[in-house]
Amino acid sequence: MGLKKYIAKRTVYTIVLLFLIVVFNFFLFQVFPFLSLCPKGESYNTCVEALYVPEAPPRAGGNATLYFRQIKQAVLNDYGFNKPWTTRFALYIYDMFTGRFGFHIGSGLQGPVLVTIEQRAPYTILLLGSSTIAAFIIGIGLGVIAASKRGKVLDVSSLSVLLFLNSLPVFFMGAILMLTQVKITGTAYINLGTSSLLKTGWTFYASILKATFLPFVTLTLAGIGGVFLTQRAVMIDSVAEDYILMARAKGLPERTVLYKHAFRNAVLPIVTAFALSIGFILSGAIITETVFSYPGLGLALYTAVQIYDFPMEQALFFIISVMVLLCVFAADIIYGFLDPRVSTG
Amino acid sequence: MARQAGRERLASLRRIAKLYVKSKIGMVGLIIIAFFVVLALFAPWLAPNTPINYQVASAYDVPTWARIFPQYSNLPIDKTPVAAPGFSKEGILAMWTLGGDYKDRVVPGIGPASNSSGAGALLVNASVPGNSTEGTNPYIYGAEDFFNMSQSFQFSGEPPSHFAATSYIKVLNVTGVKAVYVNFIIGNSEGNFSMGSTLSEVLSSAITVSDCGARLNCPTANVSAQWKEVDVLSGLLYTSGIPVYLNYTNPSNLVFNVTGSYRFTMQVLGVPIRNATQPSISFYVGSVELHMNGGAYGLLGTDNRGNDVWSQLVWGSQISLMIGVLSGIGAVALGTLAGIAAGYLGGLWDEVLSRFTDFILVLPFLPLLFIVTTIISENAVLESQIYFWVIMLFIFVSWPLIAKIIRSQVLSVKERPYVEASRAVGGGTGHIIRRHILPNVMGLVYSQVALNVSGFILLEAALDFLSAATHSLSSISWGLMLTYALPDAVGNPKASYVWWWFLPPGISIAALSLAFVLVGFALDSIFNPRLRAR
Repeated sequence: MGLKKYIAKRTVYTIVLLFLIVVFNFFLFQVFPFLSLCPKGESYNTCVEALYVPEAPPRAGGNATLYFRQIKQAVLNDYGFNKPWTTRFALYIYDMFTGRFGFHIGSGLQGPVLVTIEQRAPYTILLLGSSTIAAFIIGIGLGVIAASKRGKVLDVSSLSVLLFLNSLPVFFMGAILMLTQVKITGTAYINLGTSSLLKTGWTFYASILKATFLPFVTLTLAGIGGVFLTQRAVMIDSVAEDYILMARAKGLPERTVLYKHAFRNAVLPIVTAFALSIGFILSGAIITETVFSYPGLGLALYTAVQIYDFPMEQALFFIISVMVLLCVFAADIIYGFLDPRVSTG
Repeated sequence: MARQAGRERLASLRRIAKLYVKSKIGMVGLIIIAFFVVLALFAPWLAPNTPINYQVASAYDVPTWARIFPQYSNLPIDKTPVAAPGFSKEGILAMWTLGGDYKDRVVPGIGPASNSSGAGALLVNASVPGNSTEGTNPYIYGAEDFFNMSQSFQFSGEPPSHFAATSYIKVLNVTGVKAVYVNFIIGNSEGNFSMGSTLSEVLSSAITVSDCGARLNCPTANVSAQWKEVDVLSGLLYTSGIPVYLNYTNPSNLVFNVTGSYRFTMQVLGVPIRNATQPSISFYVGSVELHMNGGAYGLLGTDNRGNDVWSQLVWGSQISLMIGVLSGIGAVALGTLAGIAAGYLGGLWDEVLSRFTDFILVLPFLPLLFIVTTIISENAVLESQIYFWVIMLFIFVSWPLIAKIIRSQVLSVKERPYVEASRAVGGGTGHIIRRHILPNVMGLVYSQVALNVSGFILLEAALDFLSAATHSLSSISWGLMLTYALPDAVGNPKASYVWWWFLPPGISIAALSLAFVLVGFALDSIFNPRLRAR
């Protein structure tokens, strides 16, 4: 099997997977909630009305009643809840692939979903991007060093510290870091309120960096452990291979053996893990962002889930799925180039 | 044949145990797990207090032992010198002296429980003989002492920072009485103190004066059968009807100023209608308690509502262990089956497994779990089984990855000479899987269980954090404890950032999840000799 055939195969897989994911998301956001929430026999129409349409205040005049009726009509028409599910599915597919993500529903955020995503994505990309890269660099570096000094003080100590960090709940770690900052600076923790989303200017960028610092540290600390353990394990396996014995027998310096021969092979599994992490960047760090009230997509998703703001949820899930698929696809292709065994079967 | 196989298995288990005992980290992990298992199993005995919605002491009490630190050293301990959560046991009733001005007219009995404690209530039918005259009670003008119950207790040490008396009363019916009051009295060698400036009126106003005040004989009035909590804090005290204004001093210093014997009395007072014949009240007394709040309580203090943190920690261990272990075993069992099918049978099985794994990997699973549990908890029937569904979800998102790990092991075992030999002499698929494949992947299976349990314990805590806002508070877990403590832990310097409430669940989660990882590592190095130090 040549490289071309391999790429073609991966492309087909990715497309099939995308279709499956879309079907799953449709079920998750448009069928399952109503199976669970709507009493048996109640039509979607009434159920959606009860869920999303605010009741007109008891003494509201004719105009207000009309207004609420319009909202209800808009909800039913826009999301097709007055149509059979086959039509809704077609509508869903069409909307998703043409980027018509609709409007927020419920008492939380208002306006078009896409605007929220565009506003918040930079924050999430900044936070998750920087912490993912930092975690991978530190994790890979420490993992390689620990594996080469196996059983020594450095290996044992970094292993135990990272194992401990790995077993702390993220929000516990975040709170402790926040408390540490409060104790050091003597002032309460100031988060970047969502109201400042539209501001610009240098002081604003400085305040963003300030507000990103602690979540960044939290996520990096939480992320290092996994990378480190994988890298260390793969590296240990790699050092045990015959070609390393061969390289050593040739009399190559230990540095060359480790970093040229062993590391190059041991970095492969990390490529997939890194691609997955990058793919998930937009899903945000839902817990960390909530703890620090960081105005990213994770926090937006957190509020959306609590009030059944399903247009937001399904839009985010769709975008995340597409991104992850693309990243995994890219990783597969890179893998094909790096490791000839994969594409030749 | 079967017996021989059994003996072999026993011998191999013994060999594994021998190797395991040598592993230091494995033993440390096992000891930590054993500690929490003991906590979970003996929860009813270790932590007798109901963990939530049950105020045992004042809010934000520090642990008793924390008084070794200078800043807490002069905090008095919370006490409940008089406690009758219910009267089902003869012993509890025997500790009380029952009375009233007309003692012979008091008929005690046992009725239904007033609160979650499950103990029965004391049924009292109290009446005053003859035609009523003006009441003579010193605390309430015109009131008659229909019933009282009292108990002695010893007091020594520092006065509490404040104290409170609580009782649950349900009035069944009244005859010839226009109002019912409850009064608490604390007495010592220096005098009696009546608690509360406005005594609690128990009888609902609907049937008091307007309905039967004008008539001579008020008909028996059925009071709506509701329990009423009578809660009196030490604010103003009365001595023999004269209010002692205590804005200048701490009432505790006045009441608890001597060491020695005290008497706590609960009075039920009724204001009879003039000239009513034999006025009577019948009622239940659900519980009577006197709390002395100091600022220090129990092993781990109290939370922001005065719940016992130690009880929460102990009961919470059950949930972490149950969800972690059950979903760990479930996911690995399913993953092993699928992994063996995909690895040994190959073909379509393998293809389906790979595609499903790819599919699961692409889902952002923490948001997914959050969404599904939120929707589930909206449905009352599903919410009552929420832990079952959480375990199912955990299994659903994790089995494919486990299956992949098992599959690669099966692939390598499959090619070994003895498997080929077995196949050559006609060993069937079932026989080979049972005798050769399964024993060779069991090591991996055990370590996968341990590693996954660790992950699930953390995942459960994370899910608790996310769904705390939509959770109905019927049970407590470590994750929920952390979530509820979080606002105080980062922003309440007055309560010392509630370290006694915030740290224990966090450390417990970390310790338990780390312990399972250590056990997993130890098992891994036993079954996977390549990992052993060379």
